[in-house]
Amino acid sequence: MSRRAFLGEFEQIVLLAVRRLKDEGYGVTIRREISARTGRDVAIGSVYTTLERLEKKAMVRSFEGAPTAKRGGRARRHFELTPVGIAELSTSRAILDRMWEGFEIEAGSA
Amino acid sequence: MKPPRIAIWLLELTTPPQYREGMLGDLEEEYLDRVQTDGARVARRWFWSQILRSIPGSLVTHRRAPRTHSGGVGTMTNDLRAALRLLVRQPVFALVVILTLGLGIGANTVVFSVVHGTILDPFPFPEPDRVVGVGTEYLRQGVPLSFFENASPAEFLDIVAGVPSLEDVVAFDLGNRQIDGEGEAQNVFTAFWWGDPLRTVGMEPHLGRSFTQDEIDAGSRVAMITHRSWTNRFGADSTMVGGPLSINGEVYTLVGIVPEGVLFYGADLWTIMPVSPDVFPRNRRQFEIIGRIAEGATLEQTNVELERLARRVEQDHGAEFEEYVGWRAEARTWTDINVSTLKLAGVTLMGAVGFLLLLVCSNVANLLLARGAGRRSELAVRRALGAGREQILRLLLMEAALLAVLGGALRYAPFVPKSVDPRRKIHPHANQWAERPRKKRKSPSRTAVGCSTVRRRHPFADRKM
Repeated sequence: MSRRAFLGEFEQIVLLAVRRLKDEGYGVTIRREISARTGRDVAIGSVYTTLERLEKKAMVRSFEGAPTAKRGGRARRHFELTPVGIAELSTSRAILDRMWEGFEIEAGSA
Repeated sequence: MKPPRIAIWLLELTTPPQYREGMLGDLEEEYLDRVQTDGARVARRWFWSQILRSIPGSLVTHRRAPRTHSGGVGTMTNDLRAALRLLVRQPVFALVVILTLGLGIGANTVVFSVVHGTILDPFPFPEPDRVVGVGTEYLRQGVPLSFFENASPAEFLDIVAGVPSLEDVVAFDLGNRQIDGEGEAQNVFTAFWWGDPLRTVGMEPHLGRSFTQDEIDAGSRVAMITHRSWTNRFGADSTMVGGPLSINGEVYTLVGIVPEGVLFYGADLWTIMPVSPDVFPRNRRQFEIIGRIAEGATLEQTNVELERLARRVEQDHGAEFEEYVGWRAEARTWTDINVSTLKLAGVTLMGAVGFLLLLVCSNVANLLLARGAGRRSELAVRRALGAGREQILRLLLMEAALLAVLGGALRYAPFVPKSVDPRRKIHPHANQWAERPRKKRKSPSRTAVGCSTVRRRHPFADRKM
């Protein structure tokens, strides 16, 4: 197992959102994907702070798209998963699966 | 439909440059989508909520970035970020200080608006210091100095002829008339003029024209209505200018609309006095006199001339009218005449809110001091890490400045009314402060000294008023 700390919950969510969106992953779509699937209205700042951290850890990479008028002439910053990111997601999933193995928590149980 | 600029600026200040463009572009894109689907108000609220929720995380993430304090704009930005971070960390303190300052500044602004509008600069005349009213005092009859319903037509004529430093002198009487319309006839408080009052105060009509000298001399049936009456009663119908206006069953021509904000004792209808001043007895004192101090003359000079005139009248008519023994006439600016009773209240109010601001300042100073005492260890750590006295001072100053700016910026908060128009609030109906437009351009000054607005022989002298 990697010595690196576990991915946080929000980091996993952001990585999975980027993964789901494939070539269409940039701030607006990532935020919407997270909101739609988790029901949480997240701040764009939180998304970018997390993406920045993940990029520093080489789990995502970003590149600039073409500026558009709708965005006040500003360019989109697209994000995509790197092999490191995919590996980390798989590791996290595997760890959680192992922890869940063999039982289910029923509603109302303590 | 652009997103709020201040919000964008705040985000620009707090986000790292490599993601700034992307983040702002994303926000603007989603904002425009939301304007389409939810409307501008909801979209703006969403935008602000995104910005305010994004700033703390961004500040915390980037606070460890190395900084060089070499002075200049970069240093100021760093100080500003540090100050913003502190405010975010202690939101209750920041909120209390900002609201306290906002309340103090707001109360002062409101009271100053009222005092400015009612006492310091209540009239829209281009040169209010030159517009004067003439008061009279008849000691023999025990009548004190008065500027309201105080002068007789003969005294008005004396002043027109005998006080060269006053020009465009007019006199008016007040009464009620009825304007007949399609519906019920409306009672209107009316001023009856000898002369053209707009010329006296140096303003142009809002629409149409003012009274002409021929009309004044002939006592013609022409009328003007005030801007507020034109707007409220007649729906600002510009086609009525030049048309007929039925007043007490007689047909007048409405020649013009009085400019917005010009009002004398709340009279909404202006007509020309249909009879000449010389048909009245010398002691019929029910008129007000207004004039303009001529170019180059002073109020003192006018009063010297008025005193000289009073003695001459005393000499000529003192035997017949005993009130002229020891009488005097005095000119005062129209502003002075009308605001003197409010002055004390205004000054007291200004003093009271001035003290309120002092209290607010001392409260905020106490809060800052108490907070400063609680930050000793933080400041010591900053010193130990190499921050100089100057840097710490700058940081504290920046925090205080930021609080002050935010306190003042409450004025632009959406829930604060955009303008305070005291004259509308305080005197809604019956006086000259009820309307107040922005100041019009200065009219060219008129120097025709002795430009008499009075006729000696009136062709309709026998007509009843």
